[in-house]
Amino acid sequence: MRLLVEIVLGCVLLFCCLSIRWPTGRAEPPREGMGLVKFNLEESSNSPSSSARWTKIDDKSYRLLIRETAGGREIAAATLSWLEEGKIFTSEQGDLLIYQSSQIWSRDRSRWRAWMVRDGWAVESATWKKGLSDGFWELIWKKMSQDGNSRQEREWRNRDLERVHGP
Amino acid sequence: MKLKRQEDLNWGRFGAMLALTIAATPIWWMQSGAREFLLSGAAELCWPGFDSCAEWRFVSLRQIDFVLISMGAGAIFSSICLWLRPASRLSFWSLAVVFVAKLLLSALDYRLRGNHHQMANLVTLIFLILPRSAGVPIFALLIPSFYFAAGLLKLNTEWLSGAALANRLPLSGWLLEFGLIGVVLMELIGIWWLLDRRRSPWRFWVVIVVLVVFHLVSIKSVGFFYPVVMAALVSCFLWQHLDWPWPKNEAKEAFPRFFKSPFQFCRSIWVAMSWQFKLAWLISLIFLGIQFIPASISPRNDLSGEGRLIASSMVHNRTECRGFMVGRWGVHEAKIPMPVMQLPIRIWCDPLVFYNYARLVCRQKSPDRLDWYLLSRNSSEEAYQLIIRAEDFCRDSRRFPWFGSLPWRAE
Repeated sequence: MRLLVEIVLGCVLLFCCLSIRWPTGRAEPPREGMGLVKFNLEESSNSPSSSARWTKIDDKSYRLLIRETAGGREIAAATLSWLEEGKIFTSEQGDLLIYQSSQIWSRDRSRWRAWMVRDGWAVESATWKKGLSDGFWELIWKKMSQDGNSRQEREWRNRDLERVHGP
Repeated sequence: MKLKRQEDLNWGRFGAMLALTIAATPIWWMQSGAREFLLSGAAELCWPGFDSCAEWRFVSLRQIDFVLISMGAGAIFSSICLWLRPASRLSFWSLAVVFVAKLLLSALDYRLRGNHHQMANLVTLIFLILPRSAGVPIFALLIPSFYFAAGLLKLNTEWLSGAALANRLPLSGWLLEFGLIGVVLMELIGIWWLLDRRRSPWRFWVVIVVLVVFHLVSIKSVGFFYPVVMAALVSCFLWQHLDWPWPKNEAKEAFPRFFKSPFQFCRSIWVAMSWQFKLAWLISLIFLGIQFIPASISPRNDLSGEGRLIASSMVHNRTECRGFMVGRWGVHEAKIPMPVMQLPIRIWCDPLVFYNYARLVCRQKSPDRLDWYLLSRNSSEEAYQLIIRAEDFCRDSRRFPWFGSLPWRAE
């Protein structure tokens, strides 16, 4: 009697485990994942004018200059220091895309916009393209497989790193 | 009289095993890098509520070595005393002293936590403060409850898919997955066979063999200390024949009423129980109940760690995380890199680790504003989730809570 109860209990548990496991489970965890997070850091009190520009100081730091368009007077400046190795891409509008390891940060002239992680991939190049209403980043991703072969992928993302349709 | 002496000896042997877990603790802590992080000047990782733990560091490695070696030697001495003279005062007090020393040292840094310590500490505390007549039935229920709770927490894709242990075991594919389901079956059903040594010896020995294999295999994944602790705890069932703590005769008589009125049945059994048996059930049920607190606080407690400070953290999830910290000094702004620390797997994405670091940055770099964020995921998940959004953190007077949800939890 007791053995029967244990067998029934075991079968119920086995069924529970199998239903949790399948069909969603994976024996091998995905090594390529993607997350998208928006950060709304503090807005600049001075609304940036169209002449805001990132200027490169050295490999690891950029300086943002915001000029008043009417008087041509500099009203604010910020320096962004990049403490680790990474790539920085800039747009003429003052947008900035920072790539490091498998992470991307995006910020415009006044605030951080988004942060994205794409495991297993590396940004090869990023170019800001003008669109009808605004613009978007054209990203060339590169993935190195263990056997030494590489794969490239092109995609378009806006300032918030949301995927958009390209031109 | 002879029986009582034998029971005393068995009780002492179990105490000796508990003392040995304390003796093994300094070796485990040294392997975890405690010699370095307990030194004055090293980045501290304080427990919530003990933010000044950095002031309680050792000034030299020699001092740390002395304390750890003394604790280990004291525990071995206690173990010998308990084995040879279980009823002597020296045995009791030597165990009490090394146990308190372990607790005090554990309080110095969060990296010294571990659910194996929690289990060993709880059992040692009961061993020290309760008489044998109460301790025996408590351990009969509580020790299998440790496994049972761990089994309940393993009912998730992370464990059952093998993602939590991928590449750490010699098994792979369907063999690994069925092995992992087997562990769940053992922990939820088979573990209670430990109470069957008299009634059904084959069940008892089967589960002992399975436990030995399970813990030997787990060494590759979790290290030596967890199997040592569990071997010491399970040895309780080897020194003596433990049985379910309920009144057998009353239960047999009342059993026909079970299907008619389960509540009445339970009530009559409860009334017939001795206080020792009642205490055993209460402690074990409270322990099991506490394991559900994290889930009641947050469905993503596996990533946020909410409630895990009081519950055990028994699922060996492989959490991956990304911390992101931005400091501002006037118009200057900089991303602050996260520290590289040697951390146990169960806490390496714990928000408390990042909280401590952010507090350190506030103290040492005095930014006008500090924002930090934490994204985490289990290795079997595709997307990272924003777990923490702590803005203007240095001005935030809220502290990391022991209970309840985190004030910086991102929705």
